[in-house]
Amino acid sequence: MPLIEVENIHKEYEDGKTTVHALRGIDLTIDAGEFTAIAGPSGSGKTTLLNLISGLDAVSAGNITLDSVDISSASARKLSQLRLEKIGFVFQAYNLVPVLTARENVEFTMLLQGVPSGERRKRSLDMLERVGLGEYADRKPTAMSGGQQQRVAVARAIVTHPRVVLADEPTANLDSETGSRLLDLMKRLNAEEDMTFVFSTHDPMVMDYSTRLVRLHDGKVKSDERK
Amino acid sequence: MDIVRIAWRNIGRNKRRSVLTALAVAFACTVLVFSMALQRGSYADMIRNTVHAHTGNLQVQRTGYWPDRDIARKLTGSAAMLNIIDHTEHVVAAAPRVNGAALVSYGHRTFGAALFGTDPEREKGVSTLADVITEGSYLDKTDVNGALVGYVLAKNLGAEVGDEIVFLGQGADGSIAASTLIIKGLIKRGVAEMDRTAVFAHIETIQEAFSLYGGISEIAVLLDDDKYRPETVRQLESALRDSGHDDAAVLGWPAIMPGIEQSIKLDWSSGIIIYSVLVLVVGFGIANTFLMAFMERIHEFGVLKALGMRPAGICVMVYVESLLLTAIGILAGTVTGSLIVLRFQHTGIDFGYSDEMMAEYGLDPIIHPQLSTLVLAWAVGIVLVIAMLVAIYPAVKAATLKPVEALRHR
Ligand SMILES: Nc1ncnc2c1ncn2[C@@H]1O[C@H](COP(=O)(O)OP(=O)(O)OP(=O)(O)O)[C@@H](O)[C@H]1O
Ligand SMILES: [Mg+2]
Repeated sequence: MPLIEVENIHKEYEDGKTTVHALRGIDLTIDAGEFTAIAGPSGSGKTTLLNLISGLDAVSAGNITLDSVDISSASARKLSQLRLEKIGFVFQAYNLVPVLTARENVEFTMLLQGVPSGERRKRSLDMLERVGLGEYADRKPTAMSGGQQQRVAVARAIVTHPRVVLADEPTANLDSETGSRLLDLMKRLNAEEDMTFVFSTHDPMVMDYSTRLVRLHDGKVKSDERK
Repeated sequence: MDIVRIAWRNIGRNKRRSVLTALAVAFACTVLVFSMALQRGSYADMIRNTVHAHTGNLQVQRTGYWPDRDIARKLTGSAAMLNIIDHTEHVVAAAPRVNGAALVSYGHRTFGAALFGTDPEREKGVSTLADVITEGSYLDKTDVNGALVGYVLAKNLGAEVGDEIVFLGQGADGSIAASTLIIKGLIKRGVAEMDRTAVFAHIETIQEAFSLYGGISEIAVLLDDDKYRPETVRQLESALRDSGHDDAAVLGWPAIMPGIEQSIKLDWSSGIIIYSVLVLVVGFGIANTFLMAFMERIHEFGVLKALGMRPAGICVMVYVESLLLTAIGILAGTVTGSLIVLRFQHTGIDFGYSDEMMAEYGLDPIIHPQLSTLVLAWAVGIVLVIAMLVAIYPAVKAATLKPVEALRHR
């Protein structure tokens, strides 16, 4: 049963006078439980594709369905709701709320969902424990390393049990060892929770972790292989 | 960890800027509280001065005497009425008067004059007449021919203390009212019209000359505080009615001197406009810091949107932040402003107007600022409304950011 269905999408950016054709007809189907890497050189359209799947940006043409919801026609409010309930996010960097502690950051999406505070607390501490940051619960992001911050971001992304976690170059700001530990964590969660992960990268080491590798080039799918 | 707490932490993020913003709000609030208190205080002083000078907080008159002041519309039974008034709560003193108009002559010169028949002893308690004598002495209880004359009128007449003047007017029954008076003293009220026309004499002398047969024009009443005026007016009205004085009307000073109340209202509303403009200027500064705080966090708003925070949620969060900061500023400013006002509430502030200005406009150089809920409500209200207005822009802007563009912002 496909979780994400991308049908012949195009994305054009109006950049002053010129039009940038970032995506030129992408077809892609991702099943639940897959651990997919989207690779490709800089400018190939990885970020654009992830942004479209999450409804952060609108397609120029084509259709995207996520968990049977047609994203292309949803309102901004509906899309917020959809992201809150079905999508977890991990960005390249700077994606924790700086004024909140690690635990509060993990609680944040549950707060938005209206989870009662006692339960929020318990779940966030459990989650931090699982990503190996139990002792860091009351630290602010500025007092944590980049790798630790990314693990908090992963904890925040999965604590609400989303259908899919989208990660845009989650390891790009980390050294290779910290990066591979983060990927180990994501892969473990993928296995334990049967949670779907889609992440972008241009790091060959990261691609090795994936169970499916989609290569983009100039806004098109160049290759798509399951391992 | 709710929205208010997150907003609170965001305020602590750039402490310097937050403190500066709160200070700007506090400053505006302090200035407003102080100047408004000063303004209200000057009104209170002005009212007190006019009330004390002559009019009294309220007057009892014959129904229909006001505003034509026809001397024939007299009150009778003043002794009984004075007895009732003297025993009414908040009444400090009461004095009966007869108000007549006459020509006053000395030698070959003649001028129009306002003739006031007074009871010297009672008048002392109600008005400042006894305190404004520049030459000679106050009216004597027994010497019924004595008179106090405005110093300008005396100069115009060429008369001095001890001289005999003649007045000529029309009595209540249409007969001629004429008599002689001996100038006992000169008065200087600082109110040009009074100094140019006033003649104060014994009430019996004036009653007799104007054929009033014991009738009077008004009873001026001084209260311990003008704030009790409305209730005292009501009390006196019913007390006088109950004792059979059906033709007596009780008028507060605003009814007798409507000009003063109107000019106070006008001055107050133009003050409000000026203050609003002032706060608007401060508001632009505040808007700027709100906007700076917003600009620094565009990327973060993108993250929040990606996490699924709804536009309305972001709007509320940013708005609450601005308002929290404003509230702190308002609190600090109100307290500071109030403390300054309280410091000067009793001693007053000397503005050192010249004597001429005081005489011309009846200004008192010392103003006592006065704190009141009215002042606090207006000061807080103006600052709050303007802050709430300028806070709208960044809040709406944050809510309507396009998520992708916000995320690309570094
Ligand atoms: N907002 C935008 N306005 C104009 N052009 C854009 C915009 N966003 C992306 N592009 C262009 O679209 C193309 C695809 O960009 P995208 O960010 O998706 O690439 P990417 O694969 O994520 O690259 P990188 O590896 O550098 O992150 C690029 O040519 C980029 O310049
Ligand atoms: Mg990218």
